[in-house]
Amino acid sequence: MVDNFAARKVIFDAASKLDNVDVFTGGNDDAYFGSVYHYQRRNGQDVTDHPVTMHPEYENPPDRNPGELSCQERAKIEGGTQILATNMAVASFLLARVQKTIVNEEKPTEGEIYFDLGVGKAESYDRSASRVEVNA
Amino acid sequence: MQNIENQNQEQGGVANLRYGPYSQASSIVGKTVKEVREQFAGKWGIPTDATAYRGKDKMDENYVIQANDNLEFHRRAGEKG
Repeated sequence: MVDNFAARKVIFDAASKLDNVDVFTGGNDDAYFGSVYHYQRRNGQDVTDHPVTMHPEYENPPDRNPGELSCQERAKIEGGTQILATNMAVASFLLARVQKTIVNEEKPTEGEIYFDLGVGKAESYDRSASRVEVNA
Repeated sequence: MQNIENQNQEQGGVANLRYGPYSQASSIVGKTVKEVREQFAGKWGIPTDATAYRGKDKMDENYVIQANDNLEFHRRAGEKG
């Protein structure tokens, strides 16, 4: 389990070198917002996009991998707070993605999902690598 | 601004706009990316530097929205695990 962009990018980059892999990642802010992402590769091809395609925060992480920090630097990191309901919602979305795409072997057409418990909204996005934007 | 509104009415189309958990078919045809961001900044909390995408393509600030465009403003992913 990792909780920063820099560390997640290491995992995504490593996964991008594997032929068959599923990486489920989720996170939330300190209020009601959260999101999940499913990066999938099959037979050496991306089924869904590497998250960096739509998320520059992975390309240029605003944070650093904790493993690269000194002990003094780590001690200065604030633990921060988060709302249990939001954290649990992230976990529920992730588990549902595993159920649908791994257990039931359905296509990961909802590669990314954003939600905001404060306003009671959730929206899924197709992150398929082969998707074609049609303006019609 | 009046000219843009008239242009929207003449074109009569809508485009799909999304940001994080928000999604809406809107009468934004004829407006630029910058204008749309400013219009929805208060309602949806879109940051002033949020990049706009149409599909996987990053759109220029001055791109004029076309009917049936699917425009998505980048929403930073949740970070805390």
